[in-house]
Amino acid sequence: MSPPVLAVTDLNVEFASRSGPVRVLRDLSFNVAPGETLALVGESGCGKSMTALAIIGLPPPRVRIVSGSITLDGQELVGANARTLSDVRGDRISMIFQDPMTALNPVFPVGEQIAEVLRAHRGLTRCQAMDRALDALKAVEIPDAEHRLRQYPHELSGGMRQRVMIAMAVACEPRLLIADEPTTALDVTVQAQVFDLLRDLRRRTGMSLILITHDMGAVAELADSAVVMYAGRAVESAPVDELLHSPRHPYTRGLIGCIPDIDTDATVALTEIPGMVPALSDIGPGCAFADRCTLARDECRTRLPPTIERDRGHAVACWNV
Amino acid sequence: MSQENQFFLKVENLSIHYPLRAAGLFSEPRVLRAVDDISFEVAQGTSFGIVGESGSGKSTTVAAIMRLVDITAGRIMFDGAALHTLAGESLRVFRRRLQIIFQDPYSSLNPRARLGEIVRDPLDIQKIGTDRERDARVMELLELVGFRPEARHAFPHQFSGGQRQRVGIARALATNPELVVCDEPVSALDVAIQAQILNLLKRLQRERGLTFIFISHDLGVVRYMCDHAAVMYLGKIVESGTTARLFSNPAHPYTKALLAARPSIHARERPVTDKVRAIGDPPSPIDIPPGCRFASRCPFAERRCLDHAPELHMIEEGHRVACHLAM
Repeated sequence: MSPPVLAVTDLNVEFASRSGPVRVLRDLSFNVAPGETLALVGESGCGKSMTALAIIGLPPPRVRIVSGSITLDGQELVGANARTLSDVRGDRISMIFQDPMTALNPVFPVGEQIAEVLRAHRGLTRCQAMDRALDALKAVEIPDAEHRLRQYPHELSGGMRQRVMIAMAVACEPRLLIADEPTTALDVTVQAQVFDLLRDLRRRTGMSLILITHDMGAVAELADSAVVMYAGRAVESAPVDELLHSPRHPYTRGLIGCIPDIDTDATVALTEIPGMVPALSDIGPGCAFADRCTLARDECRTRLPPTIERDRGHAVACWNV
Repeated sequence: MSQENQFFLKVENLSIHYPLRAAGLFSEPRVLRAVDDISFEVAQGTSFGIVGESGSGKSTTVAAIMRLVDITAGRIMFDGAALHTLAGESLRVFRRRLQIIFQDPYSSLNPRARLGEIVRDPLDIQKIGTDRERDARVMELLELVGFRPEARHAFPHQFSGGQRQRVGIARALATNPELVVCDEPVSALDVAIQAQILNLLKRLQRERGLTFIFISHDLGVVRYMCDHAAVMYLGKIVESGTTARLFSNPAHPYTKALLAARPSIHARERPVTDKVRAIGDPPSPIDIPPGCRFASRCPFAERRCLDHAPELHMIEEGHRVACHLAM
């Protein structure tokens, strides 16, 4: 097997709150193989976006990596200096965000914003960079790209803006693209187009993709493997087919069962995950999901379940599995 | 069942147009046709879904039913009364019977009011019961949606999105309404919380015989919650019918595209060739061209689709579609 593009190993991240440090990511490990799409799945506050920010070296204020390693093609990124990280960002790792309107600069035409990336990382002249920006817009299937190049973000639809974001992110042909809820702000028919585009880009360029989402449907559509996160910890990770057909962790089972699908029996109540996500500062020594888990025993509340690989590539952290 | 019960709510040829400023000094004033000549009926005790993407007119339609916007043409009949003509005191009294649950549980609750006050507001406005009875009713409502009585002293910011949405539900039920409009009630919530709210709404409907109008862009949610549904596109109903038929046997290319676009955990079992894709983005609802509104995005569009707007016609019992190509 070829070495992973990205390897995250035992990553621990802390937030310095007023009442002391809070662990926002706990012993997180995963690999992304070349050309692979890995999904990080979970609800708000589970740490999936924090993971992405740690990878690109842009943790929010008062958040720091306590221990662990993040390597890109073998190069260590934890502790790397700002210059190195800024060379890597936008070049070998790119990221697209949920809301393309706030991620684009409203006062510059989109072409210039794409060109800026190419000038910074590839040292192209303004002219060369604009030519390449045009190619980038064509690569994301924007119709009438010559005209769009000179337009401002407010002149574009939501779907078009997300395409521009993607064009900007892949302009330097990154090894890894991180997509943080890339379609949450879009209508469903446009979302499907963006998924098609990401699939197509991945096939054409061989880049790896990390998809951050709360939607198991999106995972099924796009990802090869998935890591289910809960309260800063990976509770289950597996190839997607395996995860959807035989989820082991009660939280994963809940996440899959709580979504009404077109063929869900409307006379049967949906599976509920009772309660809500605990505050990260209130997590006890045991499993963070124990308070919401129907299978929880005393042991679950007192001892942290270790992550154990059950089948090839299918790891679960639960005392009941 | 009497005729009134059969069609508890009847929307007939409803249009809501907004005049816009002309583009130039001498050009024609433009019109935004948010809702354009739509009709549907809802039977008492059932749930009617309205599906569509942003700009389809689904929220404007229910805003008209709630009398929050003025209508341009058409009629809205509710339990035999012409809802669109009511005004003043008669409208205020009528509003008891119609309530709404909003999409965003953050902006729809007054951050400076305590939960008890929020839920009590409709009772005060409608002057229902004595002071004491109103207090008792607030406790009962909060309990109904899963709060302890002490919660009435708390403020909205002390609660999560799902809990706030429960407050919105308690407030909507305060006046014992007969028709409740649910405008994307779960789309701002985490998936695990969505199921809690959907189960709660279903239970309340069963226990109280409520009639729901349920707006959602999520077909799975509509299929689960509703008996009948209409699919809207740029102000028009393009297809309507029982949710069972609509989603198992969709006839309009837009409905097909919506179904195919929905990320599903069964995505891997569906052949990719089955997928109907809508092309490009929805056009502007201003100055809509003649012909079918979906034609510019439709993979099957023909010449006649661009020239003539298709009428909604029945293709099987209770299943109507507006498409030249659907027989």
